[in-house]
Amino acid sequence: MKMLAFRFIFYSIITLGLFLLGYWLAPEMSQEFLQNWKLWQEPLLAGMIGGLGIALLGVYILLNRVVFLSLAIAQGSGLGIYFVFWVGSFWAWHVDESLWVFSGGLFFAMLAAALFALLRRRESFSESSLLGLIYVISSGAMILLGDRITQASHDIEHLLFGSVVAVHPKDLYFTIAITGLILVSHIFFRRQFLYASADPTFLKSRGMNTSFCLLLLYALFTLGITSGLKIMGALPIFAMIVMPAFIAIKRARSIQETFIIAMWMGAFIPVLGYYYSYLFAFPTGACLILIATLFLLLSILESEIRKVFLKK
Amino acid sequence: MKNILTLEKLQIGYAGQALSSPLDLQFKAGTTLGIVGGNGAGKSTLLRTLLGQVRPIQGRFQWAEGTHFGYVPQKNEIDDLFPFSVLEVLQMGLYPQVLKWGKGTEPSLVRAREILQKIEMLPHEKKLFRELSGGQKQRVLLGRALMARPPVLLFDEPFNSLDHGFRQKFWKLLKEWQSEYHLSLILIEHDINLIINHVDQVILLGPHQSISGEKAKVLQQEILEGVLETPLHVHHEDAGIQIHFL
Repeated sequence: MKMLAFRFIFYSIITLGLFLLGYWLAPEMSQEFLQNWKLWQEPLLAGMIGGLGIALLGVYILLNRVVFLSLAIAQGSGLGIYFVFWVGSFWAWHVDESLWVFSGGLFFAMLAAALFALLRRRESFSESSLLGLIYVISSGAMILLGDRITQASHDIEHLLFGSVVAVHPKDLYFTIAITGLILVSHIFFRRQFLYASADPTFLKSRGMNTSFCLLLLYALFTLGITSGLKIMGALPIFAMIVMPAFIAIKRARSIQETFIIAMWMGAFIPVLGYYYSYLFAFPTGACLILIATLFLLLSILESEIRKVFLKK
Repeated sequence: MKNILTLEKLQIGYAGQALSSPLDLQFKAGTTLGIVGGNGAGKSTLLRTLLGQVRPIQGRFQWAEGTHFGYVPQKNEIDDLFPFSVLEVLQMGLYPQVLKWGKGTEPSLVRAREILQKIEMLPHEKKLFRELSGGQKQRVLLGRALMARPPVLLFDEPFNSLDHGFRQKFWKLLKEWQSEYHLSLILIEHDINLIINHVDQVILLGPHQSISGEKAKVLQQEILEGVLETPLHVHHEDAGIQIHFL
């Protein structure tokens, strides 16, 4: 508990410090941002809530050492979106922003994740080559389909790479629902997910259906990543999966502490990224990655400060 | 004494390719079975077959009704990324009961501490599992297998990371638990001399043929030489049997 309290205070101070630094560097823009906060309310909340869910999944992804699965899932989702647009263009349907697009993306991403979950333990496949295969086949197919639907490329790009600024209320509600599902699944099944990830051979001998547990976990990865793509974009999502979880796991003394610290950072890094993007008119996704990098660099101080404070 | 496991012409292997000749055995509850063989002889495949993770090529095996297992792996599979405490790793062994009990509740804590005491790891209960030495980790994994008080304990080359001093204590502990809880033990080992004096029955997996049965039946020079395809000598000493490979 002492450790969790220390880490929580440490990362809260960094969060507050980065807010104050922004204010100090650009006071007028900061005041404008704060005065008009209602305008940014939806993208901020979507980033915060979505980031929290993605960071929680990031802990599982890092513990399972399947970081590049998130790229394969994102690529699978992209292929699904291209596929729906291609079918739409074939039958002259107007499909952008429709549920069909999300379902298509989700279906192909699930397919990629399920393929990986089922084949990863086979001796004839190495995990990295399997991820490479999924990534490269999806990318190739995306280029082929993209070649046939050039007129919708702007819509597809928007769906694939996201735009934190253009978050509609329905996107926010959708993000709340998906993050809610991730949190509820974590609360009820965290032990099964952790055990199946840590030592599947032993848990199989105790009667656990570890393949099913991991499949369920991968389905959550897919859902979280696919829905996060629209509000953050592929690269920031990847950063939100890796960085908070990496910082949280690195010096963790307990599993609960790991999840709490990762979720805390997952919630506030997008908010800070959005804030800095507004202050200096930088692209939001890149700012989000910059803030995550600052957290990563400042986390190096954690163990030194901890030694001083916890000794006292 | 009732049989806890019955093998009937069981032949193990992968992808239709047999790794053993047909095995017959009636393994009695409360006794010890040793599975011995060289590298690639099929020891781990036999273990995974008995755990229901690999299908037999032919024949069948039958566990007594209600049997559940405690399994001690050859090496620790828990990645050092996991910040699990020693207590948390032990409580993994209580799956599925731990889902009902909760890991911080009395029955699971009392049992975990009782086992930690026996494996001489009580002072380390709050340490992170990843911070233990290889031998200490192996002890915790042994403790984890015992948490659910299973009727059968399966060990995959358990001596790999145990120092000589703890090996003696390990056997003493197993024998105590065996009589206390009427445990049936199955040990997989490549070095026959490490287990031969502690088992009641043996399955010997050779490069081309296999044999199973009571220790006295299997441990005969001609049989051992025939199955293992190597010249050897069976020594009967005061401390027990020793097999010298020539």
